[in-house]
Amino acid sequence: MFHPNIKNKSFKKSWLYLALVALFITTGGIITAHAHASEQGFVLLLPTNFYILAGCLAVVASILIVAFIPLHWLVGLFRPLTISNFGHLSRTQNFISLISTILVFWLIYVGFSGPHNPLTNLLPLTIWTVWWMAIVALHGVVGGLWLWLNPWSGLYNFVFDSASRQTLFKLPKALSQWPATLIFLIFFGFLIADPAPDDPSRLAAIVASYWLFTFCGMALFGAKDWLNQCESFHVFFKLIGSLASIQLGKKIKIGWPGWAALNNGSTSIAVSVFVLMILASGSFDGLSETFWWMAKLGVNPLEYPGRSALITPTIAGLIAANFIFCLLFALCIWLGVQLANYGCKTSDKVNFSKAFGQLAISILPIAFGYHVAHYFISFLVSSQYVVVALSDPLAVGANYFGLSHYHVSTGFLKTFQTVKTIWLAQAGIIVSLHILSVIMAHHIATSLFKTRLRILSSQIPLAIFMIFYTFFGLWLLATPRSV
Amino acid sequence: MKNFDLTKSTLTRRKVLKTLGAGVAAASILPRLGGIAHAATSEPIRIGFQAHRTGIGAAYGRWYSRATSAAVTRINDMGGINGREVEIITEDDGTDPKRGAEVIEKFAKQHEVDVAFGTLYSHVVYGSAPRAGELKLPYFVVSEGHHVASGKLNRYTLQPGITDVKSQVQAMAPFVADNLGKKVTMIFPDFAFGHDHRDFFTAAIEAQGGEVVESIAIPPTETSFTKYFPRIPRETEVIYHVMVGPAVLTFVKELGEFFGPNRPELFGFIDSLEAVDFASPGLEFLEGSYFWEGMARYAQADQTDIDKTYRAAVGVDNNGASISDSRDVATFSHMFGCWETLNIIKRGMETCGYQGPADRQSLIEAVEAMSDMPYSLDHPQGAKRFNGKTHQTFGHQYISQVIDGKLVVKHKTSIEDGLYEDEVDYTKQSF
Repeated sequence: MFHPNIKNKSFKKSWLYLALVALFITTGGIITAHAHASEQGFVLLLPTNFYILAGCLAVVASILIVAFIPLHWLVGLFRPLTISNFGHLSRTQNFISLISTILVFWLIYVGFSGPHNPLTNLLPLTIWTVWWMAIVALHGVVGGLWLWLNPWSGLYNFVFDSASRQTLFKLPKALSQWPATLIFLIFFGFLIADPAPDDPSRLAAIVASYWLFTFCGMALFGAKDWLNQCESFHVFFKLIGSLASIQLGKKIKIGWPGWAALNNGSTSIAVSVFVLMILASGSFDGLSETFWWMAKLGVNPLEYPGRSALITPTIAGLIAANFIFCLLFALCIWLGVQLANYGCKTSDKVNFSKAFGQLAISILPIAFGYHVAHYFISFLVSSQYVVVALSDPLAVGANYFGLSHYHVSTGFLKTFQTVKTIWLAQAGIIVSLHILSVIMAHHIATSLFKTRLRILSSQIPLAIFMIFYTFFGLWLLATPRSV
Repeated sequence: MKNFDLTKSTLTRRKVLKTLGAGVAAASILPRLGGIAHAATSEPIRIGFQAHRTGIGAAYGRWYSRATSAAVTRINDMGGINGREVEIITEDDGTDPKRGAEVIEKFAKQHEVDVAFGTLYSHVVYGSAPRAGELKLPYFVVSEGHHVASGKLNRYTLQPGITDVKSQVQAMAPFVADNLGKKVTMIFPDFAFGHDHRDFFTAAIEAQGGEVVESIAIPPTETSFTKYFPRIPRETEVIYHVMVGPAVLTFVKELGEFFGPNRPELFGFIDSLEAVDFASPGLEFLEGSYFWEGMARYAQADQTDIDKTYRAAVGVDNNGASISDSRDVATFSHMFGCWETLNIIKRGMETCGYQGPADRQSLIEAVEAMSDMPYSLDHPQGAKRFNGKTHQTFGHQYISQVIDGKLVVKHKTSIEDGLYEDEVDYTKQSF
C-alpha cells in the first residue's frame, strides 16, 4: 500500500533533487548507462547522416578559419587573466582532502555492508556517477579540483612532515609517468571488461586496495613523486583540469578553454601517450557497445550474452585500440613534421618526438568531449539514483530528503523531441571540443614552426585526422548499441 | 546490513512494535500486523531478487523492481508470510548468465535466502537454474520462456506467475485465423526468440486451418528493412511481426511507407513496443492493427477495482505510464509476473507451514500441488492454472487493437486456448 503522507513530503522536497540535478547539468556534469532501446529507436529515426555531415563541415570550417587568422590573435587568445590571489590554501586543501579520506573510508564501509543493489548502494553510485561522470566533467569547467578532493594528500601531510621528509626510496626519473599510464589502462580495462564493476563489495575491495596502494607508495617514495608519476588520477585530473577556463592555483586565473594545457610547459612522452589513451580508451568503450563490434565478434546484440562472455575480446580490443590509435596519431605527426621540415635547414628542423609530445595535448579536448557525451544519458538516469540513495545512505529506512519513494524515471528517453535535444547536445559537445582541439593544435604548431607555410604544412595530416575523428565520434552516437 | 529499500514501511512498523514493547498490544493498535506480531520467530522470510539492474535487461529490471517492491509492501501490510515479515535482498546479475549463477550462489550461501526469484531474461535463467538445482534453492522465474515447461531445467525451478511464449503464441492462432486471415507472413528476428515464434505459431495456425505463406527472418543487426518487404507474398492476409531492438520504430515506419494505406492486417507482439509510447513518430501506421498483450497497458472501459488497485500499488496510471512521469511507460505486459509470483510463494509457504530452508522441498511440493488460481488482487492479470508437472502456469491472453493511439482489448483468450501437451514431469525427479 502507498502512504500518501510520505508521498506528499517527497513532493515538497523534490526541489532538492531538481536543484542537485540542475547543479550537475549546469556545471557540465553528464553521463549514461541505462540507455533503453526506445531512446536508440528515436535516434535511428533522426537524420543523423545530415547531422554528422554538418558536424564534420563545422570542423572543416574551423580548420580553414584558424589557418588564415593572424597568428598573434591565436597567441593572445590563450593568454589568461588573473582574477584574484587565492593565497596560501594548503591548510584548507589538506582539510578538504582529509574529509575526502573520511568519505572514502565511509563509502568503502557502505560498499561492504550496505545494500547489494548497485543502484541503491552509495559506493558504486559515488564512484561511477559522481566521481567518474560528474567530477570529471566538472574538471573541464574548474581546473585543479583534484588537488583538493583527492583522499590521500591531506592525511599524508597530517602524518608526515612533507617539507623536510626524507623518503625511504626514490622513484627513478626514467620511469617518467609510465606507471600512471599503465594504471590508467588497467583501470579502463576494469571499467569496461570486468563482469561486475559496480558490485558494491567487489568495488569496495578494489577502492580500498587502490587507496592503500597509493598511500603506501606516497609513504615509501614521497607524495610528490608518487602522485606525479604513479597516481593515475592525479595525472588524469591534472590533464582534464588543464582544459578549464578557470584555474584554481595560488591565483585564480581565467582564460580561453585550454589555456592552461598550453602553458603547462614541456610534456613527457608518457603523458602524451596518457592523453591519447584517454581518447582511445573512451572511444573503444563506445565502439564495444555497438552492433558493429558485436557483429565482428559474432555476438547477437539483441541477445547480448553479458560481460562475462566478452572479457577477453574486450581487453584485447582495448589494447589494440590504444595501440592503433597511438600509431595513427604518431603517423599523422610524423607526416606533418616531414612536410614542415621539407626544404628547411637542419638547424630549423623540428624533430618528431618533440612535435609528438607537444601536439598530443591538442587531443585532450576531444577526449574530454567524448567522455562527457558518452556518459551524458547515463548520468541523467543514474544521478536520480544518487539523490534517492542520499536520502537513505545506510539503507536503514531513513528518508532525509523525503525521496525514498521517488520513482527514478527514464521518461525523457521516450519522447522523440527530448531524445533529439539530448542527441544534438551530445553532438554539439563533441563538435565544439573538436574545434577547440583544432585551435589548440594550431597554437602548438605556431610555437614549433617558424613560418606560416610550415605551420600549415604540419597541420594537414592532423586536420584530416580530426575531421575523421569527428565523423567517428558522431557515428558512435548515432549507431545502434546493444547495452 | 540488508537491502531494506523495498520494505521501508514495514521496518518503520517494526520499530513501532519495539517501542510499544508488546506484540499483542501492538497488534490491537495495528491490526494488519497481528500476524507478524504473533510469529514464532522474528526472523524475516528472505527472498533473493535476482534483478537485471544493469546490462541489456536494465529497463525491464527497473519495473520488475517496482512491481516487486509494491507486492512485498502489500504482503507485509497484510501480515507477512506465516506471521513473518518479508525481506527482499536484491542482487544485480548484470543480465549476465555467469553472474546469474554467482548471484544464486550468493543467495544460498551468503544471504541464506529462503527462495530466489524474479529472473526475466532466458539466457540468465539457463545460466542460473542448474546452480539453483545443485544448491537445492527454490528458483521462481518470471521469464516467459518455454525453458521451464520444455523440461530443460530442474525440480527447483518454477514459473508459476507468468505464461510461457509457446502458450501465448498458440492462444493467438484462433483469433488470427477467425478474424484477420488464414494466410500469414511472419517477420521475425533471426535468433532463438524469433524462431520460437515462427515454430510455435506455424504449428498453431495450421491447426486452425491456416498457413504461413512466408517466413522472413531478419538479421539481428539489421537497421533498414525495405529490402525485405518485397518478399511478402501478394496473397498475404496477415503480417505477424515480432521485431525487437532499437530498430523497431524504423521497421514500423518503413513498413508503413512500403504499404501506404492498403496494407494487410497486422498482428504483433507487444514485446516489440513494450515501454514504448504509441504516440511515438512512425507508429501512426499501427493504427487499427492488433497486438498480443500480457496485461492491458491502458485501463479499459470496464476497468475492475482489482486493476485500479494494482495500478495504484505499482505506481502506473491509466495509460500504462508511471504516475510520476507520464512519459515513462511501464513494461506492463510482464511486470505483473513479479507481483503474482510473490503471492504464489506466500501461498505456498502458508500451505506447507514454511519455517526455514529445511522446508524448501515442502514448499516446492506445495506449489506443485496448486492448480486453479482465481482472478483476484493476488492475480491481477487474470486467473491462472498451474501445471505442477511442468512447473509452468497457464492463463488468459489479451488481443488489443490500436484505436486512436491506444490499445483497446478486443479479445481475451481462454486458459484452454493456451494449453498444450506436457513435455516433462518434474514431480518424478527426486529432490
